[in-house]
Amino acid sequence: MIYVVGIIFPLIAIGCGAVSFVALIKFVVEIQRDIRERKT
Amino acid sequence: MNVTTLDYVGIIGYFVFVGVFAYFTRRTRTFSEYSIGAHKVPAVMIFSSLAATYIGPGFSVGFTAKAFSTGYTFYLLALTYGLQTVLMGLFFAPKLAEHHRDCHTIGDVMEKHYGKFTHVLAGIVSVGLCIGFTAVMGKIGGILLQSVTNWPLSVCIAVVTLFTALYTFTGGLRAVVATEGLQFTLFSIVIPIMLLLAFFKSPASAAEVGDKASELTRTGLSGLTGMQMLGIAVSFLLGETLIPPYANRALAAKSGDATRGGFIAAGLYSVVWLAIVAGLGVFAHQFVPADTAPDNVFITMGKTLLPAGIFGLLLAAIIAIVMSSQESVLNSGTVALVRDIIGVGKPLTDRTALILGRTGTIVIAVIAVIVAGYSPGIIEGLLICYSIWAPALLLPFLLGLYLKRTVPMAGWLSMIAGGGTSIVWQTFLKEPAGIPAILVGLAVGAIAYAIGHLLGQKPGSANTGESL
Repeated sequence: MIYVVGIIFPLIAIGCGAVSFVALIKFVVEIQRDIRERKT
Repeated sequence: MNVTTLDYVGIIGYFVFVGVFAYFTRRTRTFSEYSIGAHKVPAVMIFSSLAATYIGPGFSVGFTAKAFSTGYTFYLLALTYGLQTVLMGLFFAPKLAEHHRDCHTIGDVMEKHYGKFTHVLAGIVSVGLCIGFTAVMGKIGGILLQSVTNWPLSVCIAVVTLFTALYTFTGGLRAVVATEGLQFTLFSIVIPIMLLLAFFKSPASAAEVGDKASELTRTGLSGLTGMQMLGIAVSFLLGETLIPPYANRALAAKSGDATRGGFIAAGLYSVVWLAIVAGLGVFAHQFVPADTAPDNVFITMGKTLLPAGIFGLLLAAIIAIVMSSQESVLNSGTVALVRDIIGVGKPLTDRTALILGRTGTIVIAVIAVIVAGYSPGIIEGLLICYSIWAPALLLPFLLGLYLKRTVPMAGWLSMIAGGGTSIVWQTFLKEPAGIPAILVGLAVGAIAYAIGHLLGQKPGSANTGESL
């Protein structure tokens, strides 16, 4: 159990953080596209 | 606190990043964009935003402190929190996203099923809860900032709260979700790295740490009565169920599937996250003196394990944890103020609602800064808000999503009776026999709902959910 908490779970959390960052960049790009489309 | 120049660079870097993301997401033209992100938030962002909201100081620094004293006791009890979020994702949140596209708040949903009076009641509870949360988060953030800058506490509370209010003011929910994504990324990487370092640097073997964890957990569990354990588990299960920021995210999702995925992932993530912060408390026995105050264990572990600069990132991550929770409740409180209280009497134009929303953000932030100065009464106030939420709103809200026919009297009677009973049970009677106020309030609310449903139903008068 201590290996799961000490190694596996932190790696899962770091993975989630990385996936979230990629999704965030896509989200911000989408917002920027929306803003540009509204301007034109 | 001993903070190096490199640490300051980490903290300033965080604020610059948040500022950049807030800048790129700042423009909102309609109230729908401001309040529910124009229904354009994808599943992964719903997930990170939900996780960033529920991971506040309690689910990080506080959990490590508890684990330092009682091992995994609170972790085991808090698993009900993840269960609740998964259940919401499976059964309720998608219904909100799919069948209430015209709603911005819980109050809107309540009006659809129970009429205007219940709408206003829901609005009052929502705004009160959000102001209380904003104040508490502002105070905690202020204390953190003060420990680094040594500025007066009132100034620190104002700086943290008004900085949060600034980008909530300009960008609304999409800016909030974007900055929460960034904040989630930061603390989801820095804090697990801290645990990995603790694991590999620990002078004790894994088996010894495991034995210590078992011993602490056994001691923790034996120190609680059955009723206390039930009370804690129920509080984790129901205390925050679909509170305004969570309901707003359910309504903001692109689709029912995005809501379902976001909620389920956030629920499962809580199982991982809480184990990590509890694990830090268990491993801390190998790194910090046994007489360390539990509340200081988290920071002391960071100082011990992380190099200069990265420790600054940890401080930034803690500030991010506070701000991500604060910005959510600030935005939700504002939207509830505009939709559920100001806008109930007469319909507002989109432009007026947007202006009121932005103004309301600043007003709620200022009220929260003032209220934060009245601590320790705040914590008690927050506990009252918690004990009101589930008994007052949860039952009529969830039943409204599923029942085909609802009657207004059931809604408002259940809210008043359930919420009122819970307040009296907790505040005046001090929870006799250790029975949790939430349970008593829920039971009374359920009875009141049934009575209201029977008494209030006239032939042909029941609300079929299409009146808004």
